[in-house]
Amino acid sequence: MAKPTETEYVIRANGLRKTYGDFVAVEGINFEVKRGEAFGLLGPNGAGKSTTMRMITSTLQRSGGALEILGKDPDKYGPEIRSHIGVVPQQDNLDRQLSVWENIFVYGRYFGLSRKFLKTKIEELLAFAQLEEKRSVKSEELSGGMKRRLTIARGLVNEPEVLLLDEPTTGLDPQARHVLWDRLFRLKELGVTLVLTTHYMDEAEQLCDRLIVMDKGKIMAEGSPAELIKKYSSKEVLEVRFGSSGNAEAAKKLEKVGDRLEILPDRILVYTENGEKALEKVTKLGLNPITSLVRRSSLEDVFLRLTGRTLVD
Amino acid sequence: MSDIFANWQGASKIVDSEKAIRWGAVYVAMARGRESFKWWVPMLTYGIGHPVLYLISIGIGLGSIVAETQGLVDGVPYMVFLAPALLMASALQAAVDETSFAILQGFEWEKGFYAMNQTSVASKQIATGIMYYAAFRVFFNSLIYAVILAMFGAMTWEAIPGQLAIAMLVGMSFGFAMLTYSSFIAGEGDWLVLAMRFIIAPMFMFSGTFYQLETMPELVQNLAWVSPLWHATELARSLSYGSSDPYTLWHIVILVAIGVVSATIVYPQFVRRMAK
Repeated sequence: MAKPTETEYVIRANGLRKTYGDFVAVEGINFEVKRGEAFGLLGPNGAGKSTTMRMITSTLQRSGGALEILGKDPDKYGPEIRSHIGVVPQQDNLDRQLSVWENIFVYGRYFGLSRKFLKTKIEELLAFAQLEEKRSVKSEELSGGMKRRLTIARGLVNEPEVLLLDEPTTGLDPQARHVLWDRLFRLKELGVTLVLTTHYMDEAEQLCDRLIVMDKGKIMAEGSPAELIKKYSSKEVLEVRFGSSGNAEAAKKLEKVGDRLEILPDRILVYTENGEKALEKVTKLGLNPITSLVRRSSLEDVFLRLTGRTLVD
Repeated sequence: MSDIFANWQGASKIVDSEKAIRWGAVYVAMARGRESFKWWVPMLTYGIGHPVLYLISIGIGLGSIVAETQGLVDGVPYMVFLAPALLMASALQAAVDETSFAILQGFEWEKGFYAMNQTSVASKQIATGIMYYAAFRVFFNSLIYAVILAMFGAMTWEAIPGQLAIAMLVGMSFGFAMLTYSSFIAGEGDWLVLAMRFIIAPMFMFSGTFYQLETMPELVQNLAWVSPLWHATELARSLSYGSSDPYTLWHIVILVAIGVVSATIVYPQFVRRMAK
């Protein structure tokens, strides 16, 4: 284990590239993840997050650049690296024929863990995933959320130093998401490094110490959620609606209010340091919005600014 | 209550990477076994029922007609002639069972191979583990089969070890070939169904299982050379009741070659496909 005083990087990527024929999925990205950190990979669909994730998992060979996981090159030491990491893939790949208990048992055996050790461990994991009652149920009979929880529990069977989670909470209800956040936070307290991709900006804000925003295979921004908000957004956002016909007209008058405007079909976003003051200015200009809302700037604002609002399939 | 957080020690303390890496293929085979043993009742019923039904219907039923019209076949009663061939056919079928749809399930339907590969198990070890379990299945099936054949008097008890050796040879040889074929298939497995219908089923019919190949036109006789089942059947007959066979060495060489060539293709293919 690492000495806690010195900074130890568990992941280092330098010029990391992945191409499929002519298609460039990941275009020479650089990033580092410190031990014990919660690190997020954000980006729209097709940004290269999952590809990056699979390269970190040491199951997908890179096309170029350097990559080091736990101090080793995954191309050479894949199995060794994987024996110390935990993986929660985007798509559950449980064994449908086997029971909940057996799914964890078989997976634990792949790491060479003894039957005796696993018997105790599985009880802990079943409690962790709140699946004690379902231990004998075939995994194919579980609900989507239960399958997800089982996949996460299974990924912890070898007590990984680094836990890689590819969209861990997709398909979970809000209760289950919050429970999982709490559990992940406790794992982090134990010194487990978390690397996750997510579509939920609130999740990234809650969990990640640091994150990168990816788009089209490149890194668009890097930093802590607070830093990114500070750099790419304002402190507050004022949202005003003038009806779809009045928006464009009102926007012309709003140009001097706030640091930046974003005109959407249904509303106008005014990025500003003080939302209430901005709203006062709007009223003074003689504009009467149908509705108005002042809120704190969020990671979602940063994300949309960096990656655009166009839908990606 | 046991608590995951209170007892956490970390992978570096609880995982013996060297051990995990050394035994990866065995863990894969054991996982295959656990899955497959969910079906032990139908498996055992089939394992026993198949030889019994064949021996009664073909061996005794058809055998009595053969005895009346032709007397001996290849110098022995029909049932003795038939027994080694049935045994080889069942060995080959067991190998096919373990290396066909199960592969598609691992790569495509359930993606279980990817789950294995997330752990310290390497891509190549998945292929090896499948073959380990296929070897176990072939051995286990053939043992039951051979014992039943001996009980019916279609084979001597002393012949069993030799028959098992050839069953393993053809099982591994064609098992590797089938594994190779399956590892290139995507989607719903239509190509597997085609192989079952147009390669494996005809092989059972034209490998001299039920009759002497010499009675067939020369074309069919020559085609038999590409059939692993024919080579195995010839070997098994010569070991079981001492049928004369000038090509013993060739049969062995060809069966080994099919296995080795397939293996040199399938391992890189597993690595490529897992890394896609």
